[in-house]
Amino acid sequence: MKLLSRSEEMVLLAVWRLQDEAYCVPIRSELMQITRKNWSFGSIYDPLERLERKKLLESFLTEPTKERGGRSKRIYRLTKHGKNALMELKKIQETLWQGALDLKA
Amino acid sequence: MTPNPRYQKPLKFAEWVLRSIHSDHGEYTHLGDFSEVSNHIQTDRGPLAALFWYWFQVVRSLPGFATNRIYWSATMFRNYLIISFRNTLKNKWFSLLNIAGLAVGMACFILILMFVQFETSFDRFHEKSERIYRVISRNTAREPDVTEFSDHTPELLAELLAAEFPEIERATRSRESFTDKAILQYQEKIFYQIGIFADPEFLKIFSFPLLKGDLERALAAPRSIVLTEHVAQKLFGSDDPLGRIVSYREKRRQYDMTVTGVMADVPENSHLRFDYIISHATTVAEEKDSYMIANWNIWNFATYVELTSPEARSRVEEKFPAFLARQGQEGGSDAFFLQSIEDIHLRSQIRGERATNNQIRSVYLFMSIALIILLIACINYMNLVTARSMTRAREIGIRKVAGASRRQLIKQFIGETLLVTAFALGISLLLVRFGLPYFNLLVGADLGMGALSQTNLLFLIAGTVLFVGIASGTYPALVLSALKPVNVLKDFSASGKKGAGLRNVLVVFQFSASIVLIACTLVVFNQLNYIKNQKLGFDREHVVVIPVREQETRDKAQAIRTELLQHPEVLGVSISGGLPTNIRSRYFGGKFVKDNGEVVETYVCFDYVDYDFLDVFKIDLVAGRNFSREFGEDDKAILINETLWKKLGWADPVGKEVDVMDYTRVIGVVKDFHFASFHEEIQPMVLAFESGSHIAVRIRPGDVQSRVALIRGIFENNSKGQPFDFFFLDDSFNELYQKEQRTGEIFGYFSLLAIFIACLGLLGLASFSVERRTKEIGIRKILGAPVLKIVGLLTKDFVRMVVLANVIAWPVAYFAMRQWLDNFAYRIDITLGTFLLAAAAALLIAFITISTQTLKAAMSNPVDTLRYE
Repeated sequence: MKLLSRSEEMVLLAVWRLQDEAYCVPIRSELMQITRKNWSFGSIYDPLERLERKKLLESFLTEPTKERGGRSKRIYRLTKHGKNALMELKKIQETLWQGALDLKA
Repeated sequence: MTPNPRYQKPLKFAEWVLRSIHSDHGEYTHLGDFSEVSNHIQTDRGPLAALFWYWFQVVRSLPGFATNRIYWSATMFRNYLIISFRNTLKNKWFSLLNIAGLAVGMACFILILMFVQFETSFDRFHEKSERIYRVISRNTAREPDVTEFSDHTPELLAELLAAEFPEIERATRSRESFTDKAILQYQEKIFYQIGIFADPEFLKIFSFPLLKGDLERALAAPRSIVLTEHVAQKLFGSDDPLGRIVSYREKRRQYDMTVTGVMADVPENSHLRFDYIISHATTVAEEKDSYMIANWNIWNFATYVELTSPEARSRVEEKFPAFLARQGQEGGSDAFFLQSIEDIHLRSQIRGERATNNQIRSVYLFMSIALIILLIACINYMNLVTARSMTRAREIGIRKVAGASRRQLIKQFIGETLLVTAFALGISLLLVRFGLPYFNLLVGADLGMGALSQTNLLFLIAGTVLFVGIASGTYPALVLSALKPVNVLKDFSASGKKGAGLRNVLVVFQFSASIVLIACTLVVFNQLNYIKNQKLGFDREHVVVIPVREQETRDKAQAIRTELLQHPEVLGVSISGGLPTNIRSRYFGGKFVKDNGEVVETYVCFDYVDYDFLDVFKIDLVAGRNFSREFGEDDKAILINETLWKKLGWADPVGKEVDVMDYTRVIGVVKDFHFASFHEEIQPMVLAFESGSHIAVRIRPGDVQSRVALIRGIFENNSKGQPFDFFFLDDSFNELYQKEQRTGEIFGYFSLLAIFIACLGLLGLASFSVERRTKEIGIRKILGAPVLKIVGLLTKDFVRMVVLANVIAWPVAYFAMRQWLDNFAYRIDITLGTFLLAAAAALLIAFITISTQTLKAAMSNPVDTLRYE
């Protein structure tokens, strides 16, 4: 399994957290809130598209809304592979952190 | 929430910009994201903040957009390039034809551009060229319906103008020497050179840099001479000429000149041409020349003025009449005008001008020819590409299916054309490089490749390439990009009918243009032939002329004559002032009294002749007697020509009283002869007696070399100080028509080129059309058609086009040639034969071009053509 980049992983997680309302704007505001850094739109679009290409995400268009000047949203959802990828990553992360806090320096 | 109306417009604009550069695959979901967030900001922080944020996002999107574009453009460009090359190589012949046509067309165009640039650059190298004017006068006095301009003015005009007109900063006067060339000698080096007399202001007005010598003093003192670089080189080698004495000799004047300066050689594009300048003070100091100084009746000088600004010109011209009145010169109805020196070469129409003028017609003519040829080349390209459009059907079909828009395809094909054009440019530059010497010969110019480095010329050439590329490429691009993918699947060995109609029209146009050029060439050469063979009224063959340029030769002239006549090869010697090809005065005023007592003032052409003139040149006398040794030197007698006699209507011309200069009596009438070019009617002419400027020797036909050597020997024996210089009378006659001769040659060569290019196109089309019909030909052969019938079938269409081309070409050619022939008072009629000849030539050439293809096809084995069905 290929390792995901940091932002890919974070975007993936954000999608999971947001469940049904996972489109660009909330993903971005969620990430900005959590990391307290400014995320440009491009840094969201790009990972989203890459992940979709890798089949870790799937997406669909919604009905247009007035709020968006009459344009639709593209909602992203985790695929099975996406979920698996996240779980694996989590495991790798935990393994790496295991016992690290007890070590000196 | 309703958005604030004040910020709507800029917001909408920002949105539009973002939409154009952002790529969200047409879904607009990203735009929606932006709208959503900006609305949030609007509610939170106000509409201005939202606007700023939005624009900020636009700016952030730019780099991505830019790199994206560049990357894809580069990729596509590479793809187009490769496809272009492959296509070119796949159809070697066609590509060659295309490139050849474009290269030749562009080469012609570039050559002509260089020429035009040279012609229009005359006299502009002077720093103050926009402020320098020549004073010209208009004479209407004697004959009310004849308005002539002249560049001759009195000597004192320059000084007076500078003094009385505040708008005139400086004025200078210059004149030519009495003989066409004068002798300069230093020690044993002796040369003929051309030069002028001028005052010190001359060098201050014009930008002729002095390499040695002082600008203020070089032309101040009498007997000073400023040499041009190459003359200084000839006379002094690498020694310093300043201060040295050079002997100057011309007719009736000889001086020892002190060299007071050396100047740079006069550039080619100057209407003033000279090898040296002698100070005007020399003339002032010379007693024999005093008649022309400060005399309103002698107009020997050219006057040039430098104005404070070009706008002052009309003011000065308006003041001229008052000025003339103050000088007591009104009533002579000689009005003065200012002519910008930049206009002299192109537009001056002064007769008998010292430099070549009125070149603007040549310029227009050349430009038209250049454009016609370029047009033919472009049409070629268009035809060839569209004819072959089906060969690219597969590529286009697939591109369209893969998502190419029409616009992209158009860009691709125009780009391809530009590429081909650029490549053709390279070849055309090579052609220019090697064709330049021949071109120079043809048009009588002296252009070098350096002329190409002028910036505006480079721009023009680049512009031309662009224009040619886009003009030729647009139509094929449109045609090709319109092909439907569906045709890829169809059997495409047929068709090619696309745009066939327009193609034929274009071919007809090409051939029309070529036929016009051919017809014009024929007419020009016919006229020249006519001129050459026309009876001139004098015999110009076998006459050797030696110009008498200095006093010693003059004194010895009779002795030379006597000695020459002792030889049987010499049939006659005349020592005249004028020659039949060069009657030097055109506008001599004369007063005559008609039989009814009416006094007629008229202009006549005037020159001096000797006793033997009529004899040597074989001109007939129709009444009265010639100047004769029996009667001695008759200084009151004149001969007139038939035209003048008719004009005055005398019953008996002999003995009539006249008032022409100092002459009072008519002793005879000569038969009219053409002493000017055939452009003009024969003018009234007066001949008076004086021996002097030319020794004309009629030699027996035969070994010309030895006869000239004989003459040379006798001349050099007698006249030690003058180098032997001669010319043949018929050569000087031909020079009158140099311009027409050139025009004829130019037309000839360019018609050749035009037809060549048109044939290239025809070849391509023919070969293609034949290719298309191979199956049809195969079947016809099987059914028994003879080879000739098949050839006929194939050529029928093309022959029809050429015939149609004639229909268009003939009226155009007729009209154009009528205009040109109107320049001549004596001319041929344009006959049908000329047009038929042109038509036949075009037909023949077209036929030969096509026959290679048609014969091959007609003789092909049906087995080969029908093998794959």
